[in-house]
Amino acid sequence: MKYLVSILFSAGAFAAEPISPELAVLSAEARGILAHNCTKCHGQQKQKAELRLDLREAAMKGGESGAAITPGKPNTSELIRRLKLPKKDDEAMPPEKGPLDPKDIATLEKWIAAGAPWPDGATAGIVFQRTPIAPRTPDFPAGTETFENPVDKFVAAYFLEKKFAWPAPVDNRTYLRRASLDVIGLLPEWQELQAFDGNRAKAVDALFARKEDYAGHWLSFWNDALRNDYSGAGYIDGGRLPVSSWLYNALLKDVPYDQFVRELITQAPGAEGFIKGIKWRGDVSAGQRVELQAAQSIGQVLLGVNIKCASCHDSFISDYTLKDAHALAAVFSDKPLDLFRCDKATGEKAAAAFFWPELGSITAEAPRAERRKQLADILTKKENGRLARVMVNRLWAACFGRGLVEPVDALDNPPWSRDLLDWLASDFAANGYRVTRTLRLILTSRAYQLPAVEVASADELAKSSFVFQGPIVRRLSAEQFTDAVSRIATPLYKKRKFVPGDKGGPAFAAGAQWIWNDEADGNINAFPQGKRYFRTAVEFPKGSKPRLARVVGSADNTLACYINGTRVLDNPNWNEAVDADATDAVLGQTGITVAVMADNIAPGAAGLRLAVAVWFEGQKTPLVVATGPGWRSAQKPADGWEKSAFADGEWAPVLTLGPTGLPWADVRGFTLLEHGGFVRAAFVDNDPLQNVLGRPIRDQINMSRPTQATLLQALTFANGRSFDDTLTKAAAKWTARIPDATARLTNIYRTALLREPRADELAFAAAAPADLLWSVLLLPEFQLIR
Amino acid sequence: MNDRRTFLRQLSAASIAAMTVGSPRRSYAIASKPKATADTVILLWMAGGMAHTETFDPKRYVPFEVGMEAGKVLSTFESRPTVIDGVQFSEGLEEIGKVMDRGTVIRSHVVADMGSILHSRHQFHWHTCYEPPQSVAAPHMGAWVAKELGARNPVVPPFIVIGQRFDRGEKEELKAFHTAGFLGSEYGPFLVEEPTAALETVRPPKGMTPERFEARHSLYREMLKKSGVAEKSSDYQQDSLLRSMEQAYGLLRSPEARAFDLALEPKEAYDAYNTGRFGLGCLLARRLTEAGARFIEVTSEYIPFEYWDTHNTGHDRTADMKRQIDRPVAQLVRDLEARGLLDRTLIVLASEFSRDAMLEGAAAKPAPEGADTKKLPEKMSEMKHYGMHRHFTGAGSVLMFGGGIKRGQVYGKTADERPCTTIENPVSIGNIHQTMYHALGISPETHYEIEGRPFYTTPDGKSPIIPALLAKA
Repeated sequence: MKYLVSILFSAGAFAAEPISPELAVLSAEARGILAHNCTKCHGQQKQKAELRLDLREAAMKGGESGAAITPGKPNTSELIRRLKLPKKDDEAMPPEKGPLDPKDIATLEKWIAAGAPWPDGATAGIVFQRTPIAPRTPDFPAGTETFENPVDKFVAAYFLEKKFAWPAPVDNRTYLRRASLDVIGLLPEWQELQAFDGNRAKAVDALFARKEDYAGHWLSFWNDALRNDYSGAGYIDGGRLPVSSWLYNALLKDVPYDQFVRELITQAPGAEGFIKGIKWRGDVSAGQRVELQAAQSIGQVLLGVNIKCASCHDSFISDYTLKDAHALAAVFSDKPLDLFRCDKATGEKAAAAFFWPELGSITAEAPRAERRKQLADILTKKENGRLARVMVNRLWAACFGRGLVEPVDALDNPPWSRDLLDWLASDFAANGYRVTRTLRLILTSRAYQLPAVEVASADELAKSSFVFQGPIVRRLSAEQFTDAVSRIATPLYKKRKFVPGDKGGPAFAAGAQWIWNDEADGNINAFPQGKRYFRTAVEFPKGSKPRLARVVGSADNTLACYINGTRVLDNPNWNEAVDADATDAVLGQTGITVAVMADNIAPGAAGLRLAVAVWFEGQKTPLVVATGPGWRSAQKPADGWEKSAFADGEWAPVLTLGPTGLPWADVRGFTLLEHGGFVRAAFVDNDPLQNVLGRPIRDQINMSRPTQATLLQALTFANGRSFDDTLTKAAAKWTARIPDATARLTNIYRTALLREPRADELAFAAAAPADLLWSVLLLPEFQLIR
Repeated sequence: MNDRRTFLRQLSAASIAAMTVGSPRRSYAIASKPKATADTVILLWMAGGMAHTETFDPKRYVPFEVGMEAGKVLSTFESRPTVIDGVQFSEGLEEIGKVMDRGTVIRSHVVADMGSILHSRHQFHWHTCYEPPQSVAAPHMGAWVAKELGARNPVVPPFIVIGQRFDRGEKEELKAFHTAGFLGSEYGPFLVEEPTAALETVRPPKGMTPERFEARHSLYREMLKKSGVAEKSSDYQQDSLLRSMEQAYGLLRSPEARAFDLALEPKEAYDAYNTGRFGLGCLLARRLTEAGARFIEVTSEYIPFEYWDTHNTGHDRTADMKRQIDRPVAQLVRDLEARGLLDRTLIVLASEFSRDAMLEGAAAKPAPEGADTKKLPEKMSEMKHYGMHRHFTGAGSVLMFGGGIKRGQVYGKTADERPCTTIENPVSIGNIHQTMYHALGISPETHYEIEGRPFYTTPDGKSPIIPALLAKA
């Protein structure tokens, strides 16, 4: 215990006089009372009667009237005597505010009686533990050569020290479910699990290739962090400007994190809202002015530093001062920013500065745009190891259920492995701040593949005595759960609140027609088995600059699509259209060549339906290239058939089968944006269901979602009308699709639980289908991520 | 559910490390707790701003005349005597007047001005005791009570809000304080939007027979058993899931669920309360108090320019609001008394601010100049101008009954001429909250560390109680 506190409250690892946790708290309380009531006159600004009460040495020394504090003796301490005098007495303190709350005086007495502990006061203020700012790349620990993944090298060393043996990794089903939920937020399909050959690195790559799904999942993480997607009012000035489109595109393109931060700080187009904050109508406390909101958000989200306290007074929980908070806020201020202490103007103006001067300085006199740029430079420079540490710790927490440092917004707390944290951070920075790269590294580690660890209470996770043994059992987030319900039951949401970038989505696919190679005398149910090849090419309008491209398609039975020679889409399922981003394939191009290989794996019906949309700079309406007349096809391709330069003049015109109907009337995904015809939860407004499951309202930044189930949630499930409606509809759908009860049960288990029902579970087939779905969705096996 | 020993356990070193950010944690031991005089709270919320001069603190009545000077009008209703000698209420509140021997009327409730009147911000302030915006999510008073005292009856949600619909008016702003904030959604409000449809919130979904409801639950239990995880796990998330599912099932099939069914109330009693949604909300509150709820809020509902948000045709609308509240509030007091529950049930009737015909915000502040739809013409030409009110923060009336509150008392005083502002014993939101917590036996020191900040039930834990409001201070 003593050891721990010495870490917390001293500059070095070993304090001269470690104090007990109880005294540490008492000391913080006492100093808080002094800071709130005394230091205005006896502090940094003024030293009335030559007394200062903000620094240990000065406070103990006393002022004109001698010692103010006599440690151990509250009854003879001048401070207490003065505080207890009646208000009218000339010597009564504080003179203006009147007598302190007796409770506060009692606390001060108790503190003095305990010896007036004031941790390590050798330098100004209280010295709190601080994680170093500079980056650090520790060497791999000795004796860990057998581990390939650097993460595992550090974890192996840690396990060795903790005398903990590596348990066997989890099975494929557990792994794929876990990884899929962490990368794209969606449960894997049964077919995916069947096709999974156990190559976990490959599976992770395949997940990251689903860029839109990835963005749709991580959007919620960032919405929480950036206080985005807040729809409340009570503000003026355009309110809480959303950054949704900017954010979505940044995720889609995996914009390097340093660039991401730079755009947030410099308020790049579309990203203005983060700094802009919420400008409330009426008076707000000085600590909630928009500039201070910006400073607090930067501190909390980007640096893992809490300067909310310091926005009102010098912090009691860190050594950040009122001036620090205001200086950072002043970076974003249009005019000189007034310094307020506890909501009272001090008469001073804050000059723009950053609280870690070793990283560089900000020219206080420079225009606002320049100051923002300077701050962005400081934050993103390599010497600021803090930016990367905070981020990798958040990624770790997202994948393991508990950060290397906890809470994730307080990076000065000790990590369970400083070497691992520092190595991940420096690796992240050294490799271009690619979030997906670090995530890949984490997800392919053996550490991530460890069996999930059960925890008796959430408090266990918060303790700094936490010992890592593997990922924590987690609960599906509100968004993961509702997306899963949409997939397994019936779509909960069908209309997007916002369509990233542009409106449209694969509504652009509406005009696409089913086509095939013309070879069965028009008998569309009698095509021979085999692969067929399709092409079309279109020039872009002169001078137009493509900025975004999407493709959506399905083929009976499978397809692979190339755009300008780059493979952009694979869809192995004939009964579901899949969409993908194809921006990289068109950027800088003057035209588009779409080449598709489709495979009819058995004689009979065959078809391909596909559309590509390309958006250009400055234009809202995309250019659409869709299957239909004008496409050409061939039975056997020559080399380079997929490339733009290939001459397909000898290929035959395709047979157009029609827009819909045919054997593929039920193919999902052409008219709606997502797989399976549902809109993901992150793209719609918060609703009562998601709210009760923990999606925050976001009037504050909140990165800690509740994980514990509640009675209100259970009641929502047990009798919520909309949830029941959803399941009733879903039951009808399932019953129509699979009339046989046992087959249906099997399918539901496969889809939801990714396993076959065991023999003793087959009896559940007799249950009402809606009840079956309800029960499955509420099983811990479904609700928890193990 | 709430293990007090857990709360009171010694501060561990580890929890200091964790206290900077993240989930809230109690980091102190309560030295002493007040002795509880109430187990249940019923907050009767007059949403939209109830003018004190038109309700519980009537001033000089000036009847309507075409062309009358707007500034002359103080009250648009006559005064009527109450059961307390020399104390009068505005016409239309005679029933409440008759039960005032069971409670206290505070006439000196002063709320913050906040620079600009905004119903949602002021309601946020009243319900959380903190002026918005706050850097952490502040809990509704009901959530504090639920957290500190837990459920009175394990199958009845401890914190219930009746009557506020969230699909109209200012949705998000209302949600912002109908929350447990950092205390965690476990303590959040159970929302009953329609008192007459309350039963639907606690019975199996429409169309599901009791048999199927039972069958579904047995199926679920069987599945749990077969999936093999139910017994062996010690994971808190799984535990909480299974526990809350059982709790929900317990409530939905429990006799207590019948408390939500107003149809079970004898016709006579039903009619006594039935002045509309609010009146029936009071009836539901009575039934839930009997069933064991801990904190119940019944709101007259906030919808901009409706209910107590009385601007145009203020006189007629105020008359209607009084009709809505008078009988049911009085009946609630009488019924609880008849059932022996009033002594341990604290009823509080309050509003986010008061109103005045001429002034906006604080007493010293004249109404803003310029285009202003709320502004009265200097001379009233039509009846719709009569009783038209702006927003006033300098005084307001609050009623308190039962649960250890002094009986038959008037506390505080306002001026008899405009501005009819508080001139004696001002009472703040913090005072009222602290007095309520005191009656519930919740220490003023109650706080949690959230993001390193100690967050108290009232700002810094410093709002004093008003001993004069208590039967035994």
